[in-house]
Amino acid sequence: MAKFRKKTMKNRKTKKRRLNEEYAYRTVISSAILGGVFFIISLFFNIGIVSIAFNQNTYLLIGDFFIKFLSIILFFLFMTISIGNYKELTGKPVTWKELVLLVIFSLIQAITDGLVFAFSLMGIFILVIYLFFLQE
Amino acid sequence: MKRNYTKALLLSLPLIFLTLFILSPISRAASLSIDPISGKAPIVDGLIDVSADEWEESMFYNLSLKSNENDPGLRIDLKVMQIEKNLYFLVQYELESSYVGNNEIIGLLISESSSELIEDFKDAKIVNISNLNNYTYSDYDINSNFFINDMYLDGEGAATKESIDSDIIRFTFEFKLPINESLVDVNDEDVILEYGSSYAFNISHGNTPIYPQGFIRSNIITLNLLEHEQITQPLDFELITLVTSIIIFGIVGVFYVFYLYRIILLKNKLERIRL
Repeated sequence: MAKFRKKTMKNRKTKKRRLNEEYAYRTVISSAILGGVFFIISLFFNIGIVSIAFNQNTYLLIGDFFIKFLSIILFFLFMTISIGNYKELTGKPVTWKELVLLVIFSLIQAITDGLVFAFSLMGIFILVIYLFFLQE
Repeated sequence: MKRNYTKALLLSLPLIFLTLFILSPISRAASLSIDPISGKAPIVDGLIDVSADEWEESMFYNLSLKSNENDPGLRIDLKVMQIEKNLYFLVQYELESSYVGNNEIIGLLISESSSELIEDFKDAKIVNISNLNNYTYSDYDINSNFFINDMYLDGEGAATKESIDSDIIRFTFEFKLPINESLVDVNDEDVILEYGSSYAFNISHGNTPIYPQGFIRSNIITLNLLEHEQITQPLDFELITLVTSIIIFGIVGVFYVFYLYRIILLKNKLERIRL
């Protein structure tokens, strides 16, 4: 009887672990896809293929700036989540090297606009601080 | 000692004003002489695209278009650029809405040379913007003070108007004139502008699209066209930025695709561990 209960508990643990792994894997994929979506938005707006800043309208200029800035920040955030979970699945922590590379890949997207670059740098800095101190 | 300083200051003030007056490009009785500069070609659509640094390289010349000597005149801001095979003009002015007519017209009357005699102005490029914000560009041949519509439209012109205040309207006119060429081989409709030569341009303003009677006020400038060799090709920063951005995004994209590939590999790895 005890042997059977032990087996059930082990099965349950394995099942739970598998479910956790599946959940983590799904997060890896969904975050990577979201990161990709924001990367494409950033590509269109930061290169200048698409722009909503018409006729020097102040509101549209601000809107255009925020799209550029937020697409970079959200790309960084989702890619960090995805890479973090990926590394967790492989059993290794995210290294500084990987984080620095991700910061570079995010900031380099704002190379055409100094203001977007400055705000992105600030935003990424805040996110890194948050992830470093508040997240495990 | 203090008195000496005050004297020196009082004496120097008129000198400073005189120097500023001489150096100022504001048109006075004599015509303004402009050496156009080269740069990035603007799009002739009546709009100044600040984000694309349109007209950024050229300086503004202030000019008063007058009907007679006593007329305070219409103050316009003028920019001229010579880029590749074209000459570009930007004319801007502001009017109180009560002074805006049904049509706002700016005409460039071109002399065959630097001569400012009326009979030497043989060609006219005119942009007329209506109060409905529609504009028309016309090309005329001037023959004995008669304006005859050209068979072939040479050059380009555009205009826009915008309210900058509740009562002030700003008009922007852009012109593009070809240099050293015309649409017709044997052209007697247009003044053919040649590199390195000087030409008198009469900038005229009016409200009625009947020429020349419709022109109310004008002023003459002299343009000293650059030699073909003098036209420098500026570095196309926009193109450089675009190429750099594409390379950067390409590299990031490659890494992204590689990461997706690693995710797929991870799934296979996890499945193998489970088995």
